[in-house]
Amino acid sequence: MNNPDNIKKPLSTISKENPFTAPEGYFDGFAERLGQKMKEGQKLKEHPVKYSLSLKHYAAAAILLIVALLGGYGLIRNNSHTATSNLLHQEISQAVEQDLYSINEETIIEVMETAQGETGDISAPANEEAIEYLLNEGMNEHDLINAL
Amino acid sequence: MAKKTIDYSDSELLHLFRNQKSKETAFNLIVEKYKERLYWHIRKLLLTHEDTDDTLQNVFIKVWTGLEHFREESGLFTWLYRIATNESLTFLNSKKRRFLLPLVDVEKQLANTLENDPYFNGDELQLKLQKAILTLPEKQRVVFNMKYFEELKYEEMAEILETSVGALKASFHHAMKKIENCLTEH
Repeated sequence: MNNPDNIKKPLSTISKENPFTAPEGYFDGFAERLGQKMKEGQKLKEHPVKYSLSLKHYAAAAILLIVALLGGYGLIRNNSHTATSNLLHQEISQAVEQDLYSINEETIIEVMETAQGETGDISAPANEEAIEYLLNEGMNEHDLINAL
Repeated sequence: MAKKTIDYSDSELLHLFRNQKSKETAFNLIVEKYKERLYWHIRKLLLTHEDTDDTLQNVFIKVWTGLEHFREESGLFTWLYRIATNESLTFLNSKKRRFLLPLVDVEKQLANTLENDPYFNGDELQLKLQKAILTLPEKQRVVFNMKYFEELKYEEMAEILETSVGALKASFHHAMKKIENCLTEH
C-alpha cells in the first residue's frame, strides 16, 4: 500500500535527466575566478580600508561633532527648563484658583479679623502719635473723638 | 606522465595540502576534482546559476581556511558536501532575511525565476517537478535531491547531514508522498 515503488509511479513519467545547464566555459574558468576572489578577500584582510582623509579633516570633523553635541545638549536643556517653568506657572495658577474658590465666607472673616487684630497691635503706637500731633495742632477732644 | 586530478585519492590530496610547499597545488586539485559535483548539488537547491556560482565560491573559500583543521573524522567528500549543503541553506535563509520574506515567498520567487531561466532546459513535466520540490520543507528538499537525483546511499547521506538512516528514510518517504500529491493535483 505504502510501498515506495507505488508512490514513485507519477515520477517515473518524468525524465531524471539534469534539466539545468551552466554557461559555456563556466567550469573551465572557475578556478581562475575563485583565485581572484580569494586574492581580493586577502587584500581586504591585510588592508581593511584605506582612508585618504588627513589629520586636519579629522580635527575639523571632531570640532563640528563637539559643537553639534553641545548645541544639542543646550537645546534640550533649555527646552526642558522652559517646559518646567511653564508647568510650574500653570500649576500655581491652578492651585490659586482652586484655593480661592474653595475659601468660604467664614474663612475670609476669620482671616480679616486676625489681620485687623495684628494691624491693631502693630499700629497702636502710630495712633497715639497721631492723636498727640492733632491735639498739639489745636484740635479739640470732641472733634478728635468724632474723627476716630 | 603527469597524474590527472581524478587519479589523486582524497587522502593523497589531504597529504599534499598539509605540506606547505604543495598546499596551493593540492587545493587547486581539490577544486578541480569536486567543483562540478558540488555545483550540481548546490544548483538543485538554489536553482539559479548566479546564486550557485556565488555559493560555490564561498564553499571553496571555507574549504581553504578550514581544511587545515580537518581531522578526517569523515571523508573529504562527505565534509565538502556538508559545507556545500550548509552554505546553500544559509544562502536561502539570508535571501529570506534580505527581502524580509517568509521562506514560502522565496520559493514562489524561485519557481517564477525558473520559468524564464535561460539555463533551465527542462520540459514542462520537469518544470512541474521542480515546482513540486519547492513546496517541500528545506530539509526534505535536500534529502529528496540527494536521494532521487544524486542517488547517494542513505549511509552517505547520514554522514553528510549528520542524522540517522531511519530519519532520512522517513524524510524521503514523506517527500515522495508530497511530490506525488502535488503532481497529481496540478
